[in-house]
Parts: sequence; C-alpha cells; structure tokens
Amino acid sequence: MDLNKVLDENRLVIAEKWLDAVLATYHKDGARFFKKQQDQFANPLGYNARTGLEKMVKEIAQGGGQEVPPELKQFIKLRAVQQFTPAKALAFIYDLKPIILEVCGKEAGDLDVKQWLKVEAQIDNLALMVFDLYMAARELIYKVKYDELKSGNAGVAAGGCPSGAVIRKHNAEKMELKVIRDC
Amino acid sequence: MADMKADELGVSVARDPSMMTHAVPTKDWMDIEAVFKPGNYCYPAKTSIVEYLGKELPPGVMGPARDWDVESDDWKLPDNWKEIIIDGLRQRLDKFRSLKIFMDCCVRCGACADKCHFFLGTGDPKNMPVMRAELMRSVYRHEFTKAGKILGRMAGARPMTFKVLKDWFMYYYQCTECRRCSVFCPYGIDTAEITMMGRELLHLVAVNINWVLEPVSNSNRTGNHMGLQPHTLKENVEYLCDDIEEITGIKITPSWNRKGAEILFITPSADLFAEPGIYTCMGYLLLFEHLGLDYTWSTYASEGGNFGSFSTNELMKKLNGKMYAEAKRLGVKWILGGECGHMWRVVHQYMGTMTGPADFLEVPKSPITGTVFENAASTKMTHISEFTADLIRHGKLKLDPSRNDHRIVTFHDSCNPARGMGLIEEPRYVLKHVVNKVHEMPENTIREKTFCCGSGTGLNTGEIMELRMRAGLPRANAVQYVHDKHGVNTLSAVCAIDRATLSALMGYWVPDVEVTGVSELVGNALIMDGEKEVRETGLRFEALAGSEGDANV
Repeated sequence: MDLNKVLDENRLVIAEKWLDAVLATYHKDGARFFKKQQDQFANPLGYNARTGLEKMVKEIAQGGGQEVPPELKQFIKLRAVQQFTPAKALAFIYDLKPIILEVCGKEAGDLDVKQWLKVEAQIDNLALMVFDLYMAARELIYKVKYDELKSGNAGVAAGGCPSGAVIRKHNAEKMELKVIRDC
Repeated sequence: MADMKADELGVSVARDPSMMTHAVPTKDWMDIEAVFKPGNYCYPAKTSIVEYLGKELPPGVMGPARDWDVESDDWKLPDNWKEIIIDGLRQRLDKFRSLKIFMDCCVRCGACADKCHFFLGTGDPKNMPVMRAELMRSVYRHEFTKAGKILGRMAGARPMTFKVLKDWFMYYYQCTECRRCSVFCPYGIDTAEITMMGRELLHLVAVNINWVLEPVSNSNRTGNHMGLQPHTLKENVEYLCDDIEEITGIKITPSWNRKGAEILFITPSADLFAEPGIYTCMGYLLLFEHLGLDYTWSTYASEGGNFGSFSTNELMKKLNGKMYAEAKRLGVKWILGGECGHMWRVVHQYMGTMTGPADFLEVPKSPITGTVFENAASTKMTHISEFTADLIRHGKLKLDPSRNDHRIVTFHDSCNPARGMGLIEEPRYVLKHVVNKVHEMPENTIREKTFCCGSGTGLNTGEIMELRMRAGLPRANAVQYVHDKHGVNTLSAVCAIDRATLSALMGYWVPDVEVTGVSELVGNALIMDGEKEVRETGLRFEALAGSEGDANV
C-alpha cells in the first residue's frame, strides 16, 4: 500500500484531528470558538491554524513539505507571543505522527518501514523549519521593543528622559533573564 | 517511560493537552486564579507619583501609596481594603445609573463573547467581555442582590477576596476600553465603562500601573505626558519647522501662548517628539500656514491625551479642565483638536456631564469657509479631520495627491473617534483627496466594527509587548490581507496612541507597512505658495514616486 496515497485520501481527516490537538492547548471555551467560526477576520487564530495545517498535510502527502504555508507561518508567530514555553508552543508538530498512524495505520496495513521513515523525516524537517520561524519571531519581538524605545514613544513614563527609559528597560530585561536562569 | 510502547506514547502526546501546555484549566472560572509573571502585567506606579496625585485629589481616590510586588501574594493592601472596594462600588452604583443597569441587565446571550481582540488573540475565556464584566458582577450580586446573598455561587455570586482582586487587576488591564463588544450587545452594555469602574475601584486601594499614572502626573504638573517644559516644546517644533523648510522651502514660525489668537490648537504631545507623530505635526504646521490661520500653540495645554480617563474620573476631569482653562486664559474663540483618540472620547462623551458646556467660548466657525460646527456647540472643540474635510469640500486647499503615489494606503478607524464620536467619514473624505491609492480593509474590521490596536488605555508599555502583539492580531491580520491583496504599504490613523502602537504592531506582523497620520498625507499633498519648484521627498524625507531613489521606497 502506498502510504502517500492513503495520506492524500485521508488528509482532511488528519488535518481535522491535528487541528483538534492544537486547539486542545487552549481553554475549551476558546477552542470551541476557534474551531467553529470560519470567518478569517473574525477568527484569525482559528482560520490560520486550520488553513495552515490543511495545506501542510497536503504538502506532506504529496511528498513535499519543504515550504511552510503563510497561514501556518502566521500561526507560529502567534504561538511565539502567547504564553507557552518554546517547547509547548511547537510540540503540536509531533502530534502529526501518531495521528497519521491512527488514521492511516489500518488502511495501510503493515506499513512499509521505508515509506513511514520518509514521512517521519518530513515531519522532523517541518519541526526544524518551524523552530527557525519561532526563533525569528522571538528575535523580531526584541527588535520591535528596541525600535519602540528608539522612536521616542517609550519615553512617556521615563520621567521626561528617553535615555532613562532605555536604562530601566535594560534593568528590567536583566531581571527577566535572571528569572529565566533561575527556572 | 522506557517501557512505554511507541503507540502509547503517540496517543499520549496527541491526546493529553497537559503534555503540551500544562495550561488547560478544567475548573470553573471562579476557581481559576490569575497568575502574574513577567510579561503579562504592567509595572505598578511609583510611590512618589501616587503620593503626589493623592495630594491633588479628594482623599482616598488614589489609595495609600506604597511599594508592592505584583507577583507576590502580599500586595501590602490596607487592612480594610475589602470595605474600601465595596464602599467604592456602592458609591458608584449610586452615582452612575449606567453602572447599575450594566450590572443588572446582562442576560449572558454571548453576542459580545467573541468580539474582543484580547479574546481572539489569547483564547482566554475571561477575556470575553461578558466574563470580564462578570468578574465585577459576581461581587455586585454577592453584596447588593438578594439572590446573590442567599444563593451565593448558584446565583453567580462570590465575595470580594484577594483572588478576585487579582482577577480584576489582570483583566481590567487586558481591556483597552475600545467598545467593540458594545456594538454587538443587544442591550447596549458598554463594557468599557465596566472596565473604567474596575480600574477606579483598584485605584482606591492603590493597585495601579505606572504607564498610566506617570503621564498623568507629568501632564498635571508640566502640561504634557513627557513632562516637557515650555522651551523644549518650542524647540521641538522649531526642529520640525527646520525640516519643513528643507523639504518645501517654506519657513514657518508658529506662535506660542499668544493671547487673543482666534484658535487654540491642542494635539497629543507625542506629535511633538515621537515618530511617526512628528510627521503628522509637520502636516498640521503646513496646513495652518497654507491657510494663514490665526491660531496659537500652548506650552501649558500641550497635551491632548488624557490618561486620567484610564484611571479615575477625577483625574480625567482635571486633565480635561486644563485645556479649557488655558483656552479661557488666552481668550481664544474656540479649540481645534489634533489627531487623538481618547481626548475626543472624553470631550465628546463625558465632558458634558463632568464639567458642563464650555460657555465662555464660541461655537467653532471655520474662518476660511464660514462653516459653523454645530456638533461642537457644547464642547467648542473641532476635530482636525472635520476641519480639513470642510476645507476640501469648499475647494480651499491646493492639493497634489500624486505626491503620495509612493504610498498605497489603508485607513484604520481608531476606536475612540470611530465608536466614541462617530468620526468615520471625514478622515476617509480627506484621504480620498490627498492620496490616489486607498484600499479599505474587510468590512467587519473597520468603521464601527474596527479592531483595536491592542495597546490603548495605557497598555502601550514595553513590558507587555507580547500581550500587545497577540491582542493586536485581529487588526494586523486585516492589514496583512490588504497588504497581500493590494500591496498596501501604509496604514493611516487619526490617533496618537495608534501611530505609536500600530508601528510596533506592524513591525511584528506586517513589517512592510508603515504607519502615518492622515495630516501627514495632507502635508505631503499641499501645494504651498512660494514652495520649492520640485518636492523631492515626503515629510519623513522619503523619496517620492518618480523621484531619484524611488526604487528604495
């Protein structure tokens, strides 16, 4: 049995289960809304997660997976500023493996090890690409913070001295680093 | 772990949310406690500032000044803090009939639940407006309703505890009072006003944030958020005039604190010192010079912003009164207001009952077109977009919109002008005449349904940048759409907080998009008498379309 073919035939079921796994990381009342509302502007998180995951499953089923779709990129950017640790923010990528096994296992019968290893490698590769995106988002957020200090807008509560804001911010970030180190 | 079979491990990863987040609460909302950690709360106000403001206001309004740590379980509250809060709530229920109605009439239909940008960016149910209100309503029921007193939790009631106080501090500072939810409420409940009341009550026990109170303190003492003194303000504007001269060849020398001027111009002080507001300020200067307007700036009323409205109504009233006191002192006829958000909400919605009509001024009348702005008959204050739209309507401005051809523009309705005073068409009318390429964002994200920048009401502070980015997601998502579809590279708005916060928001979500004020685009398009033959750059020294260096735009 060709695993890619089974994957392609079942891609919507797989994407749906994958979406459920991602949304399970939010409170159930939030997750319910993110799943139900289809309008991309009324529900950007849900829309980007659903569309991004669907496109990604299709890519993997077709043997590709070297490109992360824009919707998934935006979703990763959002995960990077939500209150998850980096590992928890990205763990959902690995959920795809057991989901594929669950959905395709029966149909594919005895899985061809070589075919499975290839799909697994695609998912591992996706995890690495997503890790890069996550880190780029984190680096960007620090640039945004720095740019805001430079613009003068951060001076509002700096006692009339923008450089005072820079010093205070620096001290605050040092404290944050200490907190991270202490964890 | 080592004995776990691969398929068991797989199922565990996929099905057990706690493996991924440890954060999916299964408990009832009343049992979930707010946890403060770096990045999800704003720093408390400095003791010296709370002390200073406390002396300026009636006793008790600011609560007892002290150093306290948000992450600690001891906020060093006064012993009788619960009494203070409940008494404060009782007083406000008597004073503000609207609060009493908002506490009683919600039927929890859920129409507002998914309309809040904080909810859309976090998925946290306590960011549903109905739930945010419920945080206070539960205490109201417990203290002031029979059902709540008798049935307690069954009737959705709970006593005031430290846990509740933490909820209030967490979620009344995860609301930007944007009022999008109230547009969808069939009862017209203004959840923003519930947040305002929540913040007032927190101030009674000195639970507050520095980003709001330091600007208030500076404004009260020196006249503006930054605490800039008169000579600095004047010099800042002179620098901008030097840039204007370099760009256009026109020398402008505006007047300051001039008694007997016809008009007093007041704008947020960020327009004088911070990017990109300074370019908007250059737009104002060019417009007034173009018209030969008889107006003055003031170094005392040098702030349109009113962070008082983000803390307590007493401070809001005080800062609003300052603008009018200066108008009276200078003997001007009326006030022209710049591109600001909450200044307009205070003037338009609260001033009437807070301080009454400004009868010592005249109803604003454009000296150029003769138009009388009847809508400002009580406040005597007209918005720069209304003023400019009227000028364009009467053909009083010489404009070359092609000077903005390097910009493909969309317009963000700022919450306060749009939902707080109905200023929806005027900025669009102005834009249509000064820019050739304008594209609207999707219908359910603009006009009265506009999405907030995510950082208003004093939440535009750096320590919660990640929170701001997730709260601003719905707005950024709509900008991304027009950026991808139409190549939009400019997001315009008529609010100083927006200009600052959208710059950060775009920096993260749609880095190719720059943020401008509408008046900056007016300034670019204005053809000034005696100007340079060829305008090579825009007001931020950016190359214009067709000029040298265009490729870099």
